[in-house]
Amino acid sequence: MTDELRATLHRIADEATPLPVADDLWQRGRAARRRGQAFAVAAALALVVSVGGIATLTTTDREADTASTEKIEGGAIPSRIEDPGELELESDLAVGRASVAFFSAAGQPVVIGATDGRYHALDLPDLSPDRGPLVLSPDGRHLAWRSNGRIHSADLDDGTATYFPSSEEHAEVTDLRWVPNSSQLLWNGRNEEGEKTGGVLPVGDQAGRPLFPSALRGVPSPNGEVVALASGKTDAAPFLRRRGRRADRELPADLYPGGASIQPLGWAAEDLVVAQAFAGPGADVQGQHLVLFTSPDRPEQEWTYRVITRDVPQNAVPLSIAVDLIPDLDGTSSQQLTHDFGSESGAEEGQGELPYVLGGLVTLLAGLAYIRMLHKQA
Amino acid sequence: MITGDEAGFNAFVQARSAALSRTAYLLTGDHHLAQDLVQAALLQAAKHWGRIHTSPEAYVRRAIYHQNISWWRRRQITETQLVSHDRAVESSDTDLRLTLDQALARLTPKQRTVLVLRFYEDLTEVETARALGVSAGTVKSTSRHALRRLRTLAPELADLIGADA
Repeated sequence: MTDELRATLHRIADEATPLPVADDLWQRGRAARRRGQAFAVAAALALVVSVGGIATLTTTDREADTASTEKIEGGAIPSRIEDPGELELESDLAVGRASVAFFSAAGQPVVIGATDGRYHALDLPDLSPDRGPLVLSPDGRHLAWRSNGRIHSADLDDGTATYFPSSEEHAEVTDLRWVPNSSQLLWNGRNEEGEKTGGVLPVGDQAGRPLFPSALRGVPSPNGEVVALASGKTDAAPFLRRRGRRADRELPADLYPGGASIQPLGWAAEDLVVAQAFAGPGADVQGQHLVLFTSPDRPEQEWTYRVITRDVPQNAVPLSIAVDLIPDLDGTSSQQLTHDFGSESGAEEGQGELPYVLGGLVTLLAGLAYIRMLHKQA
Repeated sequence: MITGDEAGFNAFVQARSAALSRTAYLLTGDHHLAQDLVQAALLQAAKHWGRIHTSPEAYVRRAIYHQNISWWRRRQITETQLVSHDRAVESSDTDLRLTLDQALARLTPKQRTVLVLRFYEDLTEVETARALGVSAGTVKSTSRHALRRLRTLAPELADLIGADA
């Protein structure tokens, strides 16, 4: 009987039309190999330099402030988010915790390393030609995207990727959002009949909490009681309470005399929304920028509104932010919510610390040669 | 300038990518994912070509099997919308190929992979076990469970699968 099964499997396989594979696989494979070797050499050199106790010789004052040498414990949102131009695609998705994700002007899915501020263009499997949503989990450890009805998720720590196949319920997915504890993905789309649908998917082994249906209309707060909604040009950011009751939170009129559009990105705390705002000419803060503000749950006298950063790519709408990286507010206006990773974040240079390590080694050798020369002269 | 290694790799891709794509399609049930699976495996092959160029197909096929399972299983994702995973597939189509295709989509990746290796690739239980890095007993039980599940999902396939499978 299994002969018939075998024959049917062959017929199914034979009817499949093989899609062409990329013609640069060899170059990409060899480039990946060279990178691996280069990093191995760099790691060995770095070890030599550090064991020799001359690491200080290789570190200039400028580097001390840059991503190349400084690791931010736990990670931080960069104070400047730049379009990196076209980068070499990385097929290894294990880039570690990320702070920001967006599509660059070159159409590449880019994430920024949370601890070092480096830019990585990722070779995501099954990436839709129309790009679509690219969403980073609040903890910065997972990245999700969609292609038609398929919903993909990658673990940035171990580089594994998995996906939900398209189903009757999500034959097409238009929007993806994470819930605050990074355990669930909310999706909106259309079913096979073309009707609007939405749902929630669990990610990994984490248990998600039940959500109210209103969660599908925006970004639910950590306790699920309030949902932050997107809006066009407005004077007040809209929210939805349970049972569909609307609540508004006024935007600062001094910053936006003509209003601003608001796209919520997540919740930094129980009552603190992170959003991408856009204001036109005449506003005190123009163009795209990231903001943080209290939800209407808080008494009005406790409301705060902070601009996280104005330096964001103006064509990346919207950015996706690991909102857990935003520090707890200390109540002072001088508190830094972001970190300056410097200009060596890989946006221009693209790859690696190898030049610095090599530079350090050259310095080391020059130093040894100088000492040897002095010794001979003596 | 094209090196001998690159020419060898290109020749292998040209000769075998269609066959690899067919296997990948059976494993995934999706053309685009099959293409991703094949490309990911070929990328790994290019990376390690110096070591595997004498028998690249075995390496690439193993990469495809493992990658397919890891894409699905490493994070143990299940979709909450599935009310009953073992509910019979509705099939108004009398074409067995379509029915089998639909039923295969409801198997776990491991079950599906074992069936493809055993009944499409014609590997023995021992060869399948070696390819997947599991024991022959696991292959045997997985294959038995997979066939039983196919019968549950699509009773009309009983003739195809065999009642005693």
